[in-house]
Amino acid sequence: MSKKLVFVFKDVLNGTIKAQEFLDIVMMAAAFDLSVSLVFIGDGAYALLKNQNTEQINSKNILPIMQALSIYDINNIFVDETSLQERAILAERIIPQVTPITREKAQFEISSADHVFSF
Amino acid sequence: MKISVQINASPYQYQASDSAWHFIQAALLSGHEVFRVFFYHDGIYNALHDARPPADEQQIVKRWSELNAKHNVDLVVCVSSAQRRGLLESSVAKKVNGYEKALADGFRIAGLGLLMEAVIDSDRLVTFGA
Amino acid sequence: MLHILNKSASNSTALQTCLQFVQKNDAIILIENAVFAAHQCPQLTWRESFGGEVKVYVLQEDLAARGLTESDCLEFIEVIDYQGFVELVCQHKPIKSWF
Repeated sequence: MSKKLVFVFKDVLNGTIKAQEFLDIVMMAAAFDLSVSLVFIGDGAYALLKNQNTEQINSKNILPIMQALSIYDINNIFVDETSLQERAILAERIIPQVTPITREKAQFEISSADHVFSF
Repeated sequence: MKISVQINASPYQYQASDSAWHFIQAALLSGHEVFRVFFYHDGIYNALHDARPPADEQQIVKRWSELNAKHNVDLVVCVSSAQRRGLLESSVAKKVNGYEKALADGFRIAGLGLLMEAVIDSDRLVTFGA
Repeated sequence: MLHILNKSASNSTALQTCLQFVQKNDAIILIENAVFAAHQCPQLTWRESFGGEVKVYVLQEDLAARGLTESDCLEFIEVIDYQGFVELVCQHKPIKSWF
């Protein structure tokens, strides 16, 4: 049985190459046919806002990559509901590819991993 | 146990490299196998051949080279992180600037596939970063 | 599950967020500048419900480097060394580093 990898995003990723380099690992994991889940918690929820336009700061926009993850068969993209509520982010402001889940489900998803990548 | 380590932070700026090295020493002393150390993001700066810290400071790059020489621990620098930051594999370095030796002894440059292999083959992968 | 914290509570939301996600029978180890949370942390409240449910450890080598000793640490926090850290890694799965 292939290992379950969970990628946890806790911080904002804008303005640096971090997001790109983290997603590179995600896509490589998918290429190796490993079970992949992404869980966004805390300020990581901000990475999911729609309409990010990075042209004016000349920075790479990772939103198109996030939205295309299903091409790599990565469909388990979750955001902790409580993190959204704490930041007053309504569900319609985040990209539709993400599923809001309860804190308990987020805890279970992370703890049931074989390995957790932390960003 | 078979343990691998990922290092995401640069040496001297953050304690991550030190913590990882001490952790690995303890793991080897306890009889565990350290399968691979994978250097990612700014972690690639742990592999610079020309690092010359003062004699009374931690010799971080040299320590890694010695770890490989003494215990055969596989030290892998991610090619995409390295190239982005200007650390080139020797054949590329020679073509680009005529200077071959950019990577410290004991390190090799390879792709993320080796990180995946470490995850698959190891019992544990511990990440040190910032 | 083992949670590895390495930043001080004043420098990062890592510890605060970790405490929101930690579960019964998990373990937490404080290393590098996170060891200051073992001493005193006015902004940080260690959850009362921890008593026995979540073991918290602090790395002795990083305490010593910062001029702290075992007697400076909160009572429920156990001081261990790097070999103890390795043992914790072997005993728990998965391992999550918080930054």
